[in-house]
Amino acid sequence: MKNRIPQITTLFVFLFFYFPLVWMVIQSFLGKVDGEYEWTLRWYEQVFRKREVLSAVMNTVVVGFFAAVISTVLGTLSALAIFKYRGKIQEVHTALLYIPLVVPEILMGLSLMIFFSGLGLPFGKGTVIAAHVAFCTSYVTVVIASSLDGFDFTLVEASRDLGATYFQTFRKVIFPLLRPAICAGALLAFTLSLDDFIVTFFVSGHGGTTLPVYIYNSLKHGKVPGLYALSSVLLAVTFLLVTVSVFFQKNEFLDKEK
Amino acid sequence: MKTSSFASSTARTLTVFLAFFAFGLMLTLTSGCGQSKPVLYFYTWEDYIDPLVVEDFEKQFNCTVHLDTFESNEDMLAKIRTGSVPYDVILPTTYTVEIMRDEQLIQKLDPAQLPNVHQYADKVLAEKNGDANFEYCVPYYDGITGLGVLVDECDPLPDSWTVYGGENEKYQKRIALLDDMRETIGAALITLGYDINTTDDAQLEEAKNLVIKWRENIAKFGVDDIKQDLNSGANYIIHGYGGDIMQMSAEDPNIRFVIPKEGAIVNIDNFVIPTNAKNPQLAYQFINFMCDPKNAGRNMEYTKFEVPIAGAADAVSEETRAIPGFIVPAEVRAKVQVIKNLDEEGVKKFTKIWDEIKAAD
Repeated sequence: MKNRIPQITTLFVFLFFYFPLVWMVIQSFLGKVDGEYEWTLRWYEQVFRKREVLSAVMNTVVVGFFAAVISTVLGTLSALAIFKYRGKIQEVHTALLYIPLVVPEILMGLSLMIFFSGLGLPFGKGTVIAAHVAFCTSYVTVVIASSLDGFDFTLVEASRDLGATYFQTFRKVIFPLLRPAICAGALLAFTLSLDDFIVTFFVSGHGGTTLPVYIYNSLKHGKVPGLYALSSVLLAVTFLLVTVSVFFQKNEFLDKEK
Repeated sequence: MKTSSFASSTARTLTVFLAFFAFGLMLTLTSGCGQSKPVLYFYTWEDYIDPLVVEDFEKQFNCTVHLDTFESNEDMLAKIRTGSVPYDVILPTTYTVEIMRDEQLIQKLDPAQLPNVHQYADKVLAEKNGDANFEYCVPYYDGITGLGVLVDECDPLPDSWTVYGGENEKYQKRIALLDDMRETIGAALITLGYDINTTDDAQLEEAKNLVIKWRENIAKFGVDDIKQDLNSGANYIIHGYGGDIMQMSAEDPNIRFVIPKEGAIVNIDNFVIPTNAKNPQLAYQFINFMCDPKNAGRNMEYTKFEVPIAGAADAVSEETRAIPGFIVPAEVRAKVQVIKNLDEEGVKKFTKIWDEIKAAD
């Protein structure tokens, strides 16, 4: 007798995860003509003809790009610092890095809002990027630190013994070895930035409206199927990014084995 | 062998990185151009102004309109209170205008700069709105909250709030109420013949009991979800904002907007100019431009919300005017009530009975 419970449970879990998403995508292609439903692309057309939507897409990409680049640089450096100099200070450093992972997002958003307005900074792309860097850096550090766990530091010493400068060692030894982790970290940061709503909501202003914030702001008067269309696009992009990152990492591992 | 493969992969990564960086830089530069023209920062609701009218304004005054949207008055207020996001024109609802005025977040309007407002705006509605002389705000969209009904399921068409009372078996769990404290308690107060801004304990208690009774017959409280349920036929009758329902009925003639005979709540969204506006001159020009009857009519056509500007309705297409409920008869208009901002005590009372309604089983 085979036990069917695991299969059924798995099926239900997948249904629970994916049915709402699939349903939303289907709805985004349905429109009424004279009271009858039919397949249509008009919601997509309507939505992407709007200037605000295009500027929200643009803001999302620009913010995601800068947040990913800056937090990847900072995250890589802090992961290296934690591994290179072990001691009390680095223990505190590690603990501090974990805090943004556990602090409720609403607290982070609110405190950043108060902080930026206290400094008199105008809210916009700049404040949103700064806020995203603040939480993305922690995630990037964690990803890179986990790959440093198995890192062979004797290679670094060997490189230094053979006369390479610290920069050369970084460029030719550390960076290539960490490349998969750095890429994974950067893509994670970009995805987090793309999807973030709560923190962005608090610190956005002129020109800082990203797609998730735009979707939320449209709820009261916006046309619902248009929002489905927009959300479906966001979903597709997220899936695409994750697929690319998986593909990328697989290739990296193949490279290494050669 | 190894060194060369490392070197080439580093070079490849650097190229990819540089390409990305160039791409990002390009995006930033292109989004930054065209900023030399004056910019009007307008903070409003989504899908709430005809983009072509905005373009005409940009052409006529050689400027750029930057439009941001908010989901609720409260969200907007939180942003404005930080003082870090200066907008030139905002479009809040009446009760929020009152809060902003009391907190000196908005400036007193100069009548000389708004000739169209003083010539065309509806004075009667302005008085109901609590600012008869347009001292702080200009009422622009007024939307009556009423019932959205499916014509082929509802015979005769319901014309009263008592439809929530459960007399008709057919509507059991096929009707829905707005998940909005002031709107839903307000609908009950209107049904009972009271003022929607009352803070009288006995009247509120009666309203509470009425909504609790309604609650037994409804499918749910909701906002967007219930619009969707009406569209799909899952609900026969919903409580909703007029403009939203008329937008749906423009696509599906089986959906109709009905204003209950006892009266209804009207929500007015008003133009205001914040105290920290960077470009008040352009803000006045914008408000005045939008109050031109022709432009007001185009916005009316686009949003399906009424704009209380004399002559605006004449600029609307026959097709839109034919939507039932779009033109509000004068006797119905005389009965509508405007939600006012309550004092702390009043808010507490409303919140308390709303919590009791939501918790009732």
